Amino acid sequence: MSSDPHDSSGLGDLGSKGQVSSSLGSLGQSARKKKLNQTRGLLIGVGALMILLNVFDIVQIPDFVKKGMPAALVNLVYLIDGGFICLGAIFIVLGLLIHAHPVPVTILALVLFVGWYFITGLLLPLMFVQGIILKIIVVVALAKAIQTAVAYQKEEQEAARAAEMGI
Amino acid sequence: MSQIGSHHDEVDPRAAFENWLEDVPADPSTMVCCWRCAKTVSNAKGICPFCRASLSPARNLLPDAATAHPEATAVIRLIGVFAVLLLTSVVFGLLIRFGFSTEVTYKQQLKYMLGVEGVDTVLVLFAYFWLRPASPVSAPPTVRNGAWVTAFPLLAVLLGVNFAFHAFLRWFAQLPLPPSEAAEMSKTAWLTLLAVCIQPALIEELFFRRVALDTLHPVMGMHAAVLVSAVMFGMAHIGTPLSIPVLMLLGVALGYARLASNGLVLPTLMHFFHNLAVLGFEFCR
Repeated sequence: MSSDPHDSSGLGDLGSKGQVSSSLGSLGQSARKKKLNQTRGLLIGVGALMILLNVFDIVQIPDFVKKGMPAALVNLVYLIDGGFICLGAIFIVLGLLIHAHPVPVTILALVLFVGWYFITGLLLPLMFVQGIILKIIVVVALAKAIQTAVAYQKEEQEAARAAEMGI
Repeated sequence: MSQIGSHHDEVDPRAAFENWLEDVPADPSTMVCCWRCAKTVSNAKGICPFCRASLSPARNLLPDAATAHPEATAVIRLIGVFAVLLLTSVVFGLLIRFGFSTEVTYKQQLKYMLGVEGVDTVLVLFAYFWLRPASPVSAPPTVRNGAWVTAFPLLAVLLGVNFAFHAFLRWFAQLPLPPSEAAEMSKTAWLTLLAVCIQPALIEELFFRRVALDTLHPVMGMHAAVLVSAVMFGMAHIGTPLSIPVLMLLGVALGYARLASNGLVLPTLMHFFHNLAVLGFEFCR
């Protein structure tokens, strides 16, 4: 293959594998960054929704009390809803941190989401099936995000190593 | 004049293909990895010249295949096993709540608990042999000795935090203490010890501090792996959701105990004595 820079066919460029692989690498990394951006949006969306739904629940508690909800349950409901609001805030923070620490954030997000799903199912069995399709989509998206995050991190580490070695 | 349909006018497909390929300037910025045949090709024409797959921007990704990153696959499998463990706990919890027409006795609860723990034991052993986590991290001797010296005072502090946290929860939510089951516990002492202290210490430590920690450690730093495994440990106690925050704290301590002592013996002992202390408190109040 020609390595002549004036080769108009450009086929000579195929001979410089480092150039091609680094272009491929940056192309792949930009695609992964885009995927991580989507995951960030997903985490912030899930967190915001969790906060909104539980704030709505808390706001309705006085009405439940008027309808005869036992006083002992009121504080318990405040505690549980407060816990889920904190969880929603954690999801938002994880979304904001995804580019800094992609792998721990995506794994932690999936663990928390799966845990939240089973906890709400135990408290209210109907929650197992409510919104199941959306929950499955979130789980699958986070699982794919873990693969992307691991690949992204590996590429970053290899690029940093190559930069250190002066390649 | 050429005749339409004459074989002299037939174009050799292979030659046309190669001409088409040569026609394309192989500009590195247009080179992509075909999502179907995984060959490096130019995206200038939008179609892979080898397998004719469409190279639209959505497909224009380097495949992050499971084979390229087995650590990611191992993590996803770990979370899958974790989800199944949670499911067994949920099934047990729902059975206790809805499966009995009369109030469940302590002995019945204990039997169900042992049944669920039997299933969990099988799952954890399956996960251990399936995931085959990487070799444990080795800590220097000074750290190992220091871990044994500081572990049990730290455990005493954690127990204090645990009791204080639950006392605060009971005060805030105005929850009464459940009736004492000391008499029932005495009758089933060994089963209670097995269900509350021995099995959790052995199997939970094997899963969270060996399988989980060593599966997570290759893909993230040591501290992040301890944190994530501690979150998993807390979430696994799904039957007592209000206790999850303090159990995550315990999980962090057990994770560092595992790394610092370079083995499972120290965190297992810590877990055993922690549960024994909680059982003792339930027995004595």
